[in-house]
Amino acid sequence: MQLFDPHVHMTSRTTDDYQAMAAAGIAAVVEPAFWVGQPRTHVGTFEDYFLSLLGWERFRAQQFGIRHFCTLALNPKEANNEALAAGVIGLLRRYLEKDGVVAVGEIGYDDQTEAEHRRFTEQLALAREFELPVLIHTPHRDKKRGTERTLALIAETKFPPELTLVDHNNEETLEMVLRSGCWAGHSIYPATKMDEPRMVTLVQKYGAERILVNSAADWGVSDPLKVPKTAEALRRAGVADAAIETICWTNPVRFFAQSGRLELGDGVVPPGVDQRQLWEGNSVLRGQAPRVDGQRPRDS
Amino acid sequence: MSWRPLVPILNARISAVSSTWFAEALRDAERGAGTEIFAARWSGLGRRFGRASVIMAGAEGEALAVVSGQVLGDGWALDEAGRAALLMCGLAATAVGRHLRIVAELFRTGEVREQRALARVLAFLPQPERFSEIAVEAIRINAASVFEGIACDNPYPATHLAEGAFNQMVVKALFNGISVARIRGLAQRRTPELIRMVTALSSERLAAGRAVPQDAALITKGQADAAV
Ligand SMILES: [Zn+2]
Repeated sequence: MQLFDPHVHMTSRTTDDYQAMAAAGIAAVVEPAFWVGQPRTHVGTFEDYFLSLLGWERFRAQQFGIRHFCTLALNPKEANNEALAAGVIGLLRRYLEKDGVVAVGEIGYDDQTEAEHRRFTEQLALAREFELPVLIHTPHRDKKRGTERTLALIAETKFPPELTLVDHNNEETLEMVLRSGCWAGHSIYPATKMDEPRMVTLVQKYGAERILVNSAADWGVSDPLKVPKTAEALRRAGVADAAIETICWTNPVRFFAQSGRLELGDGVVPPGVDQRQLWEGNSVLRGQAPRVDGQRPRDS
Repeated sequence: MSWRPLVPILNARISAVSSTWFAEALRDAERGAGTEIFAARWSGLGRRFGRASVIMAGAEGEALAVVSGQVLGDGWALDEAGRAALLMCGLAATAVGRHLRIVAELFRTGEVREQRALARVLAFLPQPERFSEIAVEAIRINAASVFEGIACDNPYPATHLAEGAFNQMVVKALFNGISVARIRGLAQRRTPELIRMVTALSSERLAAGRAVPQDAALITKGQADAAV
């Protein structure tokens, strides 16, 4: 079964991680733009970060046969930096149009301040303008209230719930997110957020529809193999393969495909893929470029 | 430069919806390449064209620009050829003195497909020698698709790059396992310095007990003519 990690910060991970992820069956990832740990002090730093998500990181992933997509946004934490916020929102107008950008995100509330609310609202409008789904971070502190506010804002702005993925859910937030019609993400973490046994319980209770799991692996103590580990935990608990595939592949594909930019290429990526076969066009390392006759692409 | 015949060739290969979008994009480009709307069209083209190869049949490419035997867009991906037409259209409507800054800015802010398209089209732009710094930047980029965009099947480097940059490109290709037979005009750029550098690379590989790239001999033994 091929797997999809719909929320992982690969910029902070090593090639060993990529290797292990590919071997464990991860064929595609989405990397949301987020806080990099150290607060940024220049708008230009954000631009270089966006560019690395659209260039270097995509190439790194491809070397291991993993398709890499990204979401771009001003994250909630740094939305509080007034000196930066307007400049970063300005950058988004240029970068949201690019290939490989499959949503606006992570946006949302962190400390739940007025500044966060304003930038969250602005970026929902940007998503509408650029016809993109949104990936929403929910706060780790005062999560239930933050999730309620998030869903209220989605309803108030009439942003389509089917284009909304509300992330980092737990036992106290999942039900309201599903009831709202939004998609529900779960970050499986070694210590905090959500773990595999709790996730199994949630799937047994709520099923697979609109439910996603991710590793949210970043620069902290985290594990980029949490999607395959959760798939395994679900299997051991007797959850049907079809439901596991829905959660770990089909749902993220269906959600992000709404961007019209989720280019997965043909067929399945086998683990241990030939590293000479790259995804970027006709990039075969040796010999002549393949002259395959052009087929008509899908309607845009 | 004759890029207009490329438009019907592309339209025959994309969907009707994309063709309509392309016509609007070209109309925007006719107002110049240095605008916000141009940048948005430039980026938005990728997902509307896709990446299938444009293989021109028979007389199809006859009216198109040709540089050193390379027909504009022939064998390129649809998004590359589409971006080439869009940029040539935009630059034709822009004061020549602004071209370099506009193309450099598109390169700086480009994702990998955009950068690759730029690398491929440089040779077809007006006064192409002005863009050599962008070609050098593309050679420095590690993402293979951008590097190959400038190094492989592209008349630009042999025609416009200084010896130092050209030689770095050849050695980087060998280093990364990219066939140097795909470097156009290599035979004419086979200088004593390039031969020395490739000989040094081979010697380093042998000393380390590793294989010498097969086509290093194209340079060291002068078989480049046969291969190109
Ligand atoms: Zn995150």
